[in-house]
Amino acid sequence: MKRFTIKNSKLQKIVFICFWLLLWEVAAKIIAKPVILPSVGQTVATLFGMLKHMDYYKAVLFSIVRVIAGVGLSILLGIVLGVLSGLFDVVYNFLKPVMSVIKSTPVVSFIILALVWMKTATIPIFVCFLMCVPIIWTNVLQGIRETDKKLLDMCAVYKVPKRRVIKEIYIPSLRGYIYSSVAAAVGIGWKSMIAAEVICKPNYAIGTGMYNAKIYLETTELFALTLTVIVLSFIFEGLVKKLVERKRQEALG
Amino acid sequence: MIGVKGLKKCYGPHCVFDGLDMIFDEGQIHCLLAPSGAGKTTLFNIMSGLEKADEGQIYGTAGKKVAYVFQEDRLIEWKTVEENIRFVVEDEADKEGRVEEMLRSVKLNGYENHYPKELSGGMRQRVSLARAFVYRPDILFMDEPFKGLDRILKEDIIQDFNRYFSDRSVTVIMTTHDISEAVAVADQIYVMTRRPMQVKMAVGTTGLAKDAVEALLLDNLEE
Repeated sequence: MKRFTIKNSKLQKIVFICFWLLLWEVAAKIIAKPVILPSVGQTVATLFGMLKHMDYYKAVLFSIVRVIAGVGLSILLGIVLGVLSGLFDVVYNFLKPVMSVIKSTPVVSFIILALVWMKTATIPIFVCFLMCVPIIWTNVLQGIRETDKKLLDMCAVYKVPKRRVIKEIYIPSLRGYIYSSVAAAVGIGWKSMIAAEVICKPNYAIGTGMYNAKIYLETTELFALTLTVIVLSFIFEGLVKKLVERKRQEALG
Repeated sequence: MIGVKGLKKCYGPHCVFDGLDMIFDEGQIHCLLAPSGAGKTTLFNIMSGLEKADEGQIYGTAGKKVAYVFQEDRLIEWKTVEENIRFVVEDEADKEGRVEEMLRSVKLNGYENHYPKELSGGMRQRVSLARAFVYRPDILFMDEPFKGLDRILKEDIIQDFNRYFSDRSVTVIMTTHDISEAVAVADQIYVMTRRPMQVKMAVGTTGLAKDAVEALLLDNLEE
């Protein structure tokens, strides 16, 4: 019965994906202008065409490196700041307004400001980092606050040094929160980084390719590059989720 | 001398104790017999520094090593039995031999590399006892430490416990519901009243026949 349900749910997913692709195809046929809406076939064909050019791979590779750098930095700083904010109210009160502002500021505002402040090549990393750091910070903070108080009391009675309490009690308790925040940050990271690339146009970037496609009204190319980003984002999120699941299984024994 | 004087602790309008005075002789084993919810855990939390009293004084604890066997075992789930015990003495030089000795004392040798989730409730409680003993405290609080252990094991551990504390100058303050357990281990037994908690009766067990102490306690123990 269970197997039937799983198969059924997989089948449902495939049917629904086919439905949306069909709707796209029908809309493209009705409009009949690839410059406004290219068809599925045209998009896939353009993507295959791009796969023959080295510049495509360079753009993809550099964009991947930027997203890894941005998300990686946000994980490092988000964990450190989250732990400190969870342990010391003064750090929390100091950072809270900054994190709230970052969360509610449109990503484009940061990109435009960054254009004034720094070199174009580093802006996508900076923006990706800026968008992801509040996600990691919030989750780590929550993890610190929800660390088992009974264990902390035990540490207090036995006068376990604070550094060991952080390393051996807080950090292991935080793992679940860190994994799920990283999974969420990867998706946001890709979106914000591509937005920054489109506006800053660094050398070798998927976003720069999208900007050029827009300038030359190459809508099919724009769709193919968007498809590339979606696939890459899916792969990254999938990898992180797999890692999270594996770690969860390890923790459960 | 360790003790509390005029201790008051209230949660809203309900006072757990108000004007509680108690004295504990150093190096002796004291047992508090009290009905559930009388406030023994609150007293231990205050004396061990985990909670603040509203009024009153605690004396004789400053600068002393305090260990606490909580009612729940409070083991670290991601650490093995050995790591849990070692956790409280990690920064001490002669920890290795002590950890092994403790594992043997609580009959857990062979389980060093097991995780708490792989142990029964009684075994977990024994790890918690070993963690407190290995710390070599000056004052040891134990909140129903032998709860959940079967009779034979309890007797074994109580024997080890008596041996362990007979040659060490540790002030032990423990709670229990079990009169025979109190008589078996304690030098001093306090019968406590229900809230607000007060000492109803104190019995020094030295030189007294166990049966006589039990009879005395049964008459005075408030249920």
